[in-house]
Amino acid sequence: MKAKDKLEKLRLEREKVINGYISKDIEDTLVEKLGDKTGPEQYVIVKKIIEETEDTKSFILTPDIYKGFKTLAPFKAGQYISVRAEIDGMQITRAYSLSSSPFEALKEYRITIKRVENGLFSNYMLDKVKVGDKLVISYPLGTFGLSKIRDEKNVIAIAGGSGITPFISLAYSCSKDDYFKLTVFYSVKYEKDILFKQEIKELNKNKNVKFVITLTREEKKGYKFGYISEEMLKPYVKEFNTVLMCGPKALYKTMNTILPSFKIPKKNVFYENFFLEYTSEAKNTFELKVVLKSDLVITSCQSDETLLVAMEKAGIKAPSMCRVGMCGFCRSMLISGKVKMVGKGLKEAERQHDYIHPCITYPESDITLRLDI
Amino acid sequence: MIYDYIIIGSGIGALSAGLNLVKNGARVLILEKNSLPGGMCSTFKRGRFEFDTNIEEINRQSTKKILSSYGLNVEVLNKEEDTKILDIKRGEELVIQGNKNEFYKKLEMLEPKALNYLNKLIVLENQIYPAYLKLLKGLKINKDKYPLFYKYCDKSVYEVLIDLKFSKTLINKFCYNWFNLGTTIDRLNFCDFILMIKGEKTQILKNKNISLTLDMVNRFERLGGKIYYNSLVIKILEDKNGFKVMTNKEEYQSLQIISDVSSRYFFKNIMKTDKKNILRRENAHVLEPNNLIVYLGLNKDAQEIGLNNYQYILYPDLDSLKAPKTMGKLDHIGLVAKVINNANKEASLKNTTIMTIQTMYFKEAFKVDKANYLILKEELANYLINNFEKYFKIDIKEYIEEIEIATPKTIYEYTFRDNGCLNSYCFGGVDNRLNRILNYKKEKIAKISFVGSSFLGASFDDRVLGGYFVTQKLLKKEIEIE
Repeated sequence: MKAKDKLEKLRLEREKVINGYISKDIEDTLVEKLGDKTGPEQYVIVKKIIEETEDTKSFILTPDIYKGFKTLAPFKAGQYISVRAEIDGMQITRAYSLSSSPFEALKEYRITIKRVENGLFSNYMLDKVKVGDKLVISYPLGTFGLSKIRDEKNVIAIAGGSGITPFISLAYSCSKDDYFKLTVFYSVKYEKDILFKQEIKELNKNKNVKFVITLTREEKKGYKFGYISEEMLKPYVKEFNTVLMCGPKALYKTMNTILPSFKIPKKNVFYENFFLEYTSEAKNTFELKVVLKSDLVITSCQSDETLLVAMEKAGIKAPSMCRVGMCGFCRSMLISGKVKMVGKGLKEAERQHDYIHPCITYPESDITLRLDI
Repeated sequence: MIYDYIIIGSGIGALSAGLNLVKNGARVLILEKNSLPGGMCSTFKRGRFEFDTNIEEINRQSTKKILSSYGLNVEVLNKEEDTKILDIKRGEELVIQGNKNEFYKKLEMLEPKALNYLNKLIVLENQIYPAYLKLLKGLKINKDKYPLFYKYCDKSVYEVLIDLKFSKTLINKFCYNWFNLGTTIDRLNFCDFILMIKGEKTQILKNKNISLTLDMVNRFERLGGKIYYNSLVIKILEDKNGFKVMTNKEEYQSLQIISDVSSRYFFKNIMKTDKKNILRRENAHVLEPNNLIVYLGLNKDAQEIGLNNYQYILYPDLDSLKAPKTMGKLDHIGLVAKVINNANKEASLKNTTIMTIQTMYFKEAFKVDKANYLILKEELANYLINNFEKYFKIDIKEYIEEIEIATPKTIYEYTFRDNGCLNSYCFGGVDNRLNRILNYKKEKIAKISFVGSSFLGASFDDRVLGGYFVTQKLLKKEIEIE
């Protein structure tokens, strides 16, 4: 055979295989069969609304089959979802921990929302949303929760108020598989504020799960009294521990004074963050220019509100999910202006290229932003 | 506005293609579904660690030349080989350190007269490599000048080594790195293999992946290109004016399409076609193995932990012809671990270490139930870490501060790499790079081109070259490669 023909023969071999069999369709791969994630969002229907206390409601969300969602995505106990809603012409999101059992994830999610004073989103959810309504939510996000690989088996969870939500989910997770020993310290003001009372009672029957509820404003039989303290924790702290915390700022402050006495290494202590540490003292108004794909929006922003909030107020559908600078979904480019960015979610190279996370960025001058929507 | 080209995805192949096009004055729009560029060449942050999703290696110096022709100077570090290999089947340990010469000397020590055989390879390299470059340039290859290329162009690595009278044990040791190639040496074309190993040195990126891709984007935009993030292309329609490209929000017009997602994904999900000749090209593709990667942030210095090597490979069987048979299930022990700080001291903060442990699954091993998926994911990662500790006798678990796990599902969802295969379409049989290049003209579809890992290969060199190769052809310019 001539040498030139050898290359041609190789080519022909390939051509022959390609022409060999006429496939009608391209079949799904194993991985495609496993996941149905095609975009950044899931579509759900509000199946049930439960009044937990006078200012808190739970929402049971099921997949919207008409939007092509046969199941919801699985989640890990401790993860959250971001809920999107249009309120008064503004596109707003809020992050809520999933409080349901991860073993029910494919069928339904539960989120539990407490009314926040003047809270635009919580008021909307509590007052306007009805059973049967459709919602747009994110896929489960976040790294809060337990890892059998990373974490110590004895788990101390500290919850304040509605910060109990991820731990209910975690309790379901721990009660089913015999690995972690979970003790949840749950601090509320009054007995009437206790969320999931009946569920907690049921979960407490499991040998791997224990809830210790403490009331800070009233003494009642069956509950501890006062703020979570060193003495309260002591009987449950072992040689090696994992500490998880979810609640208001004040709780984290208190715990930071208590925990050092147990000498728990920093790497074993985790916080769930749903608020920003920073508050601006100045009260200035600046001009905010947002360069969109094919539009330019000129609006204003306040030095004590984030650029994300300013954009939402101007009716810009700015992307966002975690709202604490971690997920990177809102990432935008700062074209000009001086800003104060709180949080540590941004990578070094992004910083060098003038990227910001508007959800944690406060203006300190007139600002021009680029947002690809 | 009608673009000359719309590029789907912003991986290295897409950015390479986009840069070459805008450099030549074309109007180009890149649409990226994620909020960051890079595809598999990306970086994510957990706590105080910045993890590169993939360690990008540069083995061909022409890669840097292509990038510098776009106006990019990539900062690199030289990386010497430093691998510890355990062959469980034979109970043997092998440590490979230093450059190629030192590797060959080491083989000479282990296998009698190894150098006699290895030197034959150098002769082959010196002839096959330039011939291959000619082929890439579309030039004729004179059979009298390159007889060895002709002799071996249709042979697998294994066949050639046997032909050169390599012993089986020498073959095993010489091809110790097959785990990183994503295919076995009886499937991999010998000339393709030469193209991979010819380089005198291996370099890695000095900065994080995201630093490179943002530099590429920055340069692309300065040259007049446009890139939109959070823009998932869901549909493309062809009409007499070109293409209408639809994302979940907008519509764009372009004369031509370049896809950084595979042809399989493209014709299955974006531009559904009933053209049988297009669908038929999938006949050549093999979608295995797929991968699982565990990323670990350790709170101690690598040396103090006892992680003294850069790479650790655990083989159930060093023989690449036999090992895959045992790797068609989830609980095989094969893995490759990389201690990034041992190649790049600045990979993480002082007194911390970043390491990755990776494995691959052949056949239908990763056939898992959706409800159990997250539990299984953690179990598989745990299994990998346990095996690393057990076989290399190094404790790492107690130092784990951050952990992230990427399964085939994660890889697919983030990059659309078919079936979550890191190596995309696996080289083998008629689907080696050489075969793809030979049949390129025949398979070329009018106005639609493919770049990225599914084209010339999944290595960094191949993705950069692929983007350049395709666009030079579109621009009707010569391929300059040395």
